[in-house]
Amino acid sequence: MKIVFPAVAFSAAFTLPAYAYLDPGTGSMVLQAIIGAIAVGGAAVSVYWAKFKSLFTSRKK
Amino acid sequence: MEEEEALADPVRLPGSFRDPSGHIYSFENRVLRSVSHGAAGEYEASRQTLNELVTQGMLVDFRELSPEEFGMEQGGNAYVLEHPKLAPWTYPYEWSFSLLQRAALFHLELHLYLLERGLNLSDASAYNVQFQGTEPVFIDHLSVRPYRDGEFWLGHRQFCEQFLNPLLLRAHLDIAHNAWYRGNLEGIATNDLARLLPMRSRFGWKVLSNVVLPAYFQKNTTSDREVSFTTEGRRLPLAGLQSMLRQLHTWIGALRPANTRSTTWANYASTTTYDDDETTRKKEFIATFIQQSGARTVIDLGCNTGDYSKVSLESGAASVTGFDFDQQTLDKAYSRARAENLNFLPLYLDARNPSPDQGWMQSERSGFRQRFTADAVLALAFEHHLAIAHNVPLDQVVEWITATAPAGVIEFVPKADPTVVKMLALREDIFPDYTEEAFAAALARSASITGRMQVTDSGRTLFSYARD
Repeated sequence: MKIVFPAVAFSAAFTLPAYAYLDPGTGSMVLQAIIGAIAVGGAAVSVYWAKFKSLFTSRKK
Repeated sequence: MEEEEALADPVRLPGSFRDPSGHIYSFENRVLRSVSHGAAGEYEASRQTLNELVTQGMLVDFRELSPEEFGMEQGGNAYVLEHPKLAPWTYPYEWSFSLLQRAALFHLELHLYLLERGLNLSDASAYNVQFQGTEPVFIDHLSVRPYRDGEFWLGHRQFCEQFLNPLLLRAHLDIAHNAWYRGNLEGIATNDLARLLPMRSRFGWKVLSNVVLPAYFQKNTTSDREVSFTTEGRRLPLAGLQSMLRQLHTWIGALRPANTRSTTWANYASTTTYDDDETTRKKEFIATFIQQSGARTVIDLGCNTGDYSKVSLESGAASVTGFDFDQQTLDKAYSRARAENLNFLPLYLDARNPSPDQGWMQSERSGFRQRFTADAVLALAFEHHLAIAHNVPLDQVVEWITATAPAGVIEFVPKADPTVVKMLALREDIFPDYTEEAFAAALARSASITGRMQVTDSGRTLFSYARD
């Protein structure tokens, strides 16, 4: 598992925003960090992918 | 919730203690909610959307009143809201698979709706959903607050434990969630489900990301693996959160119970021991009883797929709460209620062991008797499951049923009936006093018998009663 998700760095203690009265659980937060990283990464990739594709598509008027 | 005596001050309900932003009070049979000064800003920012949600029937109605009116201005209360009293009041461990599924989808839809309006939910408790007829409604106004850009979904674990995991238990393992949920109250722990799921269920992305990985990374007291992690400096983009919610919605919407083979009870209406004439007579008796008693609310014990609940609704009842212990029957009853637009809510009940008063101080979640009452009760083909199959003395069965409502119809199933014959086929008959006359005498001790009609050749007999 550690090899699969090198992007997730474990550091310091688990801290929570002050407004939370609910314990969100470490497991769920780690998962969302992964999703967040993928989403940010994915957004960047899609921008480049769109640029890349535009090189091969003829411009339409 | 005994509010019979006039109370001098609003009384805080014992189940309302977790969220410091406000609490629920009962005051002279009214339902009040305090909003703390700390939560007032978030409430004000959400108010317009809350009103929209009420208009759409997704949120229970609210009316702003002044705290001074109730002497509640002390103790840090900025607002007091009044809500209509909902009935019946139910808990997720009384819901069937299909009710829990409906509630889960509703919760996700509400969450997505709020996110589009710049708002978010601070938790994901299944206890914040109630059913009005067949439709879910959200009850916790203070769970709604402004969305903070990039914030994590703090309620994800709670959503999984209270909605997703119990559904997966039935979808993957064919185990109904009710007993476990009732025992634990907070749903099915992700760690527990992760240990149970068979190998083949584990490797899809959805199970992996919502059950297996969270369980792996979960820090807990019994684990020797220390996971330190901070959300500081990390973001879950809004689109990421929305896609998590949409993915869960699609997934949960497609879940079905693992076992689709019909149980005896799910086919009951078609395999029942009644012929058409007998069914017609029985329906007429119920229709006349409902009309004459003028009952508006009805409890149908052993409702099966709701044939007699429907008769009650057609005879003047405004709402029926049904109870049954067969999971497939309950799922069928619910889909029928929705398809035929019946104000009928079928709930899980094992009458041998009804929901107790439990939770913190043993009063956080109240029991069956505190929450379920009606103008009339139907207990058709029900009594023998307690009296014969569970050895409950006949007079106790009668006492328990008649305590549910001041009027009702109870069907007595005699020993000669094929169902009872089958129940006694493999065991000793230890019921010498199980007779129609003994039943009638027991009923007469609890109430007045207002009608009596034999409905089958085997001797099944309907009794209607009225308590003073």
